[in-house]
Amino acid sequence: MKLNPLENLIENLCKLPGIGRKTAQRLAFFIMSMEEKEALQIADSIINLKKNARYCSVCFNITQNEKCNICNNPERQHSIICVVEEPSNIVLIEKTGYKGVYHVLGGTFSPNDGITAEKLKIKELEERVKTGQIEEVIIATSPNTKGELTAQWIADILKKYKVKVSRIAYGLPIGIDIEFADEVTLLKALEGRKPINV
Amino acid sequence: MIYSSEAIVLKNYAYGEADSIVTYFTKDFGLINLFAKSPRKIKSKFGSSLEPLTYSRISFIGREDKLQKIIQSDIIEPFQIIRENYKLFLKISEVLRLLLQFLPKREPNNQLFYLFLDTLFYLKEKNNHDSHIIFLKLKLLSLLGYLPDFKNCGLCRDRLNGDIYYSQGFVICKNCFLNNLPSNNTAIKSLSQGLVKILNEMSKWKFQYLERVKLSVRLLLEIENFLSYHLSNTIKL
Repeated sequence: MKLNPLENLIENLCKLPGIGRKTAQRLAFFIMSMEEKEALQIADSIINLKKNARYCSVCFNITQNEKCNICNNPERQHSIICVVEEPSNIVLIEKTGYKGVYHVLGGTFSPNDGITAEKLKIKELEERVKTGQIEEVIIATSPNTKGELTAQWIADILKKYKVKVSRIAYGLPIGIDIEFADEVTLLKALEGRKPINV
Repeated sequence: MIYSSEAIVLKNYAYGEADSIVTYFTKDFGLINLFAKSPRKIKSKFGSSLEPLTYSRISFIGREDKLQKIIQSDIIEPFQIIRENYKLFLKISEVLRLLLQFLPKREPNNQLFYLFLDTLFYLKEKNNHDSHIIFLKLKLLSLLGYLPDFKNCGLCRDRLNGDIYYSQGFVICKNCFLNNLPSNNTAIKSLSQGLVKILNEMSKWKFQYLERVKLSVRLLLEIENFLSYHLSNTIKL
């Protein structure tokens, strides 16, 4: 059965993560009410992304060229690699002013879900470290069980190379009341305490 | 209505932007899935309490025939030490996989719940863990009815003696082996009398008894190989 254009758009929007039928309907009606130029811009940007975006051959960030802007930038510190789960994490870390380069794993280790070390870009990270030009690998996977497993797995693989492997700090988020923190987070915050310089 | 129980997290997976579905092994309700609102947000009230292996007291609401919602989770023991040892966690992951696969939903199993909990407390304290994890797997299969009979032949029910074989989920005697030769000979495995005897005895042991016996590395490996073979050939995980 051939769907009408509106129904067709709703069906396709439903394929996106976190979009149920109701939200898809709302979005479809909003697109319907938009200026034609604006709506076509959205469509064009999707086509452009699918046609031109690819993974960087060095760090697996999303790029339009063989290498991404960060890997191509000579002003970045290429001896420091920050390992992240997904390309979206790079956007956040870039806001902190970090000047090193990245390596995107493409997920986290989760044996019970069929995501083994071979499915992540760990071998490619090892190849980068093998060159001997890397001084530090900062593992910035999420502070949960899967992220921690992945971090330990990488640290175990890299221990045979002359490279410093560090993990981003655990601790309390800024702005909370300490009485609401759970014991594991508090323990990690205590372990990672720093002297106060005044 | 608000329900509450002691529970151990078996698995949690991301749902939507910041929500999660958490699978618990609860003392009072057996295996249940619960919806957790925004635990992945930085200021979530759940903190680390929904991480796998966390032992906590939970409260949840909702109708039993729908996905119920967790409203509170107070950590009793986080078992963070086990999660931080990735080699140990990988071994425990095999047990988690068996529990997720075989534990029936909403059927309490106190014996298995406390065996799992006792093993986690043991693993938290001790380095020598191989025998306890293998024992847990064996007891888990035994308590849930997935372990073959090691005393009598699975086909003729005669007492097992002499040459013993394993075929398609059954432990069988020599006569049954000769009379029922399957076309695919690779499905048959010869078992030593010693292995069958220890498997039969271990399936009846209590957790505390394991502290008093020392199983050789060779025997543990033999038991583990048998369990892997049994699971891969008959149950098809």
